[in-house]
Amino acid sequence: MSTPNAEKNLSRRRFLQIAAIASGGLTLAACAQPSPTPAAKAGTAPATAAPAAASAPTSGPVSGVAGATTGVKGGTLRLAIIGEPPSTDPHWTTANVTNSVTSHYCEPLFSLNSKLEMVPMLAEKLETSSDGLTRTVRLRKNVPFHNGEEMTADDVTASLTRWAKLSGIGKTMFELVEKMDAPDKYTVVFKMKKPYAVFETALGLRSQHAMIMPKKIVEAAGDKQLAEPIIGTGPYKFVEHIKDRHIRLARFEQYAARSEPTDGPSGKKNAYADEIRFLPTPDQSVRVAGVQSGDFDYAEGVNPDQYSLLKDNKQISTLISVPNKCPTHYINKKAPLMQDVKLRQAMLAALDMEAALKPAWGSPDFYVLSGACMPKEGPWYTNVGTEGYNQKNPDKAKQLLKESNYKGEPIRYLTNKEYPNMYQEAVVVNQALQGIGLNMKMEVVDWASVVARRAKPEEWEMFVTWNGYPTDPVLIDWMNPMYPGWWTGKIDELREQLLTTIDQKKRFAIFEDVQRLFYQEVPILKLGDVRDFHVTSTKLKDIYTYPCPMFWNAYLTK
Amino acid sequence: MTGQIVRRLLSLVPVLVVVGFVVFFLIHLAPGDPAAVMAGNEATTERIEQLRHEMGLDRPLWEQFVSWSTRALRGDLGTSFFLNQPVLTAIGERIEPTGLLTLYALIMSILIGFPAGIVAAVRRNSWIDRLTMVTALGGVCIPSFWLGILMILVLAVWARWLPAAGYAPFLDDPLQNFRYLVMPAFSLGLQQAALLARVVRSSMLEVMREDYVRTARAKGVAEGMVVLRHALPNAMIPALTIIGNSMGNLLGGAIVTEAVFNTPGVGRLVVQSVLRRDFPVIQGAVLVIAAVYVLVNLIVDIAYVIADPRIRLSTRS
Repeated sequence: MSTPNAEKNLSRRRFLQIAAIASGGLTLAACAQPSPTPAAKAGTAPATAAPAAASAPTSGPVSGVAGATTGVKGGTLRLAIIGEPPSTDPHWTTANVTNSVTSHYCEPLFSLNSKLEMVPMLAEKLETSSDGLTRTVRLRKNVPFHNGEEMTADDVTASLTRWAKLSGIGKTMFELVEKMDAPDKYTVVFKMKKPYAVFETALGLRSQHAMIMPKKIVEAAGDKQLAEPIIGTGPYKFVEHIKDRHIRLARFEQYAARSEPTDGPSGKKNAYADEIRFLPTPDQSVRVAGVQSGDFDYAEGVNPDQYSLLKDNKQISTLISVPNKCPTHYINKKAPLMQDVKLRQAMLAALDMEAALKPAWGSPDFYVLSGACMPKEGPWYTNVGTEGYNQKNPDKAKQLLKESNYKGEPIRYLTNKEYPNMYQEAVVVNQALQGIGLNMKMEVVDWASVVARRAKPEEWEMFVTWNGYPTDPVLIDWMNPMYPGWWTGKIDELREQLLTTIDQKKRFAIFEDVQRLFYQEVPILKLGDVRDFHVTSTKLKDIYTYPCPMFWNAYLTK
Repeated sequence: MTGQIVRRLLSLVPVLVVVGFVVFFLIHLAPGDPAAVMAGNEATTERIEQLRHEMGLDRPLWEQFVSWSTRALRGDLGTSFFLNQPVLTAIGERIEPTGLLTLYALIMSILIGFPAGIVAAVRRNSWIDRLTMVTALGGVCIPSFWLGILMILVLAVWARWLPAAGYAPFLDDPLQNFRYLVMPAFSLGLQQAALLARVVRSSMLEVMREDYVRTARAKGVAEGMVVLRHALPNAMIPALTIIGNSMGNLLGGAIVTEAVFNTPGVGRLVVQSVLRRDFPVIQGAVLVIAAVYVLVNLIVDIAYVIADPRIRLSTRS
């Protein structure tokens, strides 16, 4: 006989049945989250033609292909990048990962070639008046945006006006622009206040890039980030962005390619792949494992200490990018302690550069002992004035220290472990400087803290970073008096001369003076040149990696 | 019981207030500037200051806290600095991977833990019992991230049976979704499975000594029925406690697992947000996780009371 209580009470068996049904229902409800446009299955379409013989070069002056490429059309490139870009708006941020992604759907007026020279991209040609004060940019005709509209001079002026408000280089350049006009549909005229030697370089610099986008869109956005999809003229168009998951680009079939053969980042862009997917993958080991397992076609930013393990691996190809960047240990010249030139010279004399580079970068495949301020592979390379590089002379260093005003004050030295190479370099440099009697205080913080603290001169004496190589030495970070480190004084005049002298031979001579002063005043400690290491599927060919990875000529073989 | 449930729900409010206060001030007082992260390594100081102003970071801290907390009370957790989308949207888009990962891990832990514990108890002191318990001990001790990396090496890189990383939404392709999550779920759930196996074993051993079990055997009930129909239901009560507590552990462990397998869930969002100093997301995600944790514990407590009427919700809490 059942009692009222027994009928009210829930038996364990009944409870378990209800719980199972409820869990199933909750699961289905959770999975009924409206998901964005379904992600197509990752995979590569079969090649439609016999694979070309070209392969991703791993050596040579720059890593990439000069000349015509004959690739295989089709497939989806799955590219594991180091993380989610802070923005897909090319004017918004200097972050490398943004530069790399946006350069596939947007284009600037000028671009680098394989010899690190600036050449026209959306521009047809550049005319300069004899006094250097008038720059006339003739645009290419019939270049469509992804929305079907033709690119015109009004789009250029609107894009550059916005870029000048958001970008440091743009702001500097436009302080020298008296007037920017569009007298006709395909011409933009810049009246300069004084000659500006790096006109094309500034407009083609791959950092917070001066990309050209439709006037209506950039004017509507103003100082705010552009809304997606971002419209450009590039060989790929923006399809979808799911944050922290992927950025999908598809070939732009109406893309107006240049007729010249491919030459590094410039010339013809073939857009062989149907689709490119950038997959933010913050963990390096996951990126590498993904290529090995066939889930990714490319993994960027692999630690060089993996090279010896991976170079003979038949599942993958290795790629070393040349040239790339230089490790720079900045010295705070606003700090009274560090304004002592003898002290800085003592630091330089103490260092064995190879001893600092080897633990951080592994094999000599990844570092070059070069004291020159610009890379060997480009037109600005010179060894003039670099005698002070790599002295490895602790005795001389101690002597210089005695001649300085240093009295044992602590020297705060910021580094981080997020970029293990920076930390490893700092450990060796720190030890070398302690060895000559400096009271070094190495502070290991995360990268975001380094970036925050380095902007405050009262919070550090030294910090570690890398600097990329812009096309022109006047645009190197440490040449900027506003960049943490704050090098001013005799360099100001040389900087001004470098900026305003148009004649290239004269500019080169001025740069040699800069390099001499660099080793006399030691504004930073430059350790050498280093290279990035990437890993790709054996099927992926023709990637160009300088100044950032580019895939518009890359293709997948069978 | 209804009154108890309402009281437990109301206690969520002071919990969230304290959590919100602590998280806000901890992350704002820690070094690191979200504007500098957004602007990139080569940005000028002016650009960084411009972004700080747009993000409202140049206001006094108390003003920022009041602004954020009053909006949070209305359910508006703000907009992510980095992702440029509402925090709730950012979390909502990532609930599915974390939810499914936790669910699969829980199911795996139950599917592995229960049979292992039962077999060990039934074959007490045999080599099966010893092997199971040694394996369970190993499972408890092995870090989930290490196991995850090992599984990637063996199953993804060498054997190419499963993908190494990534995610496919459940509704788009349930099978692919499961393939992406099976390794993370196993590495996450193994520790709980091991714990469950040990608890199920010891409570089964206790229950199997009871008179009613002896009676069932004496009446000629088949051994399988004795174990499953008579002993197991009563041995499950302590196991339910473990399962309930494991929800919190699984949610926490998902943070590490999502990093190892590149699963785009809430855990990875929190880690990445900390590294990029995305204050609104850190604050919002921690609040949401705290609320979920409290609610899950409440549900487990209610389930416990229903499963064993001798327990009162007040004593359980």
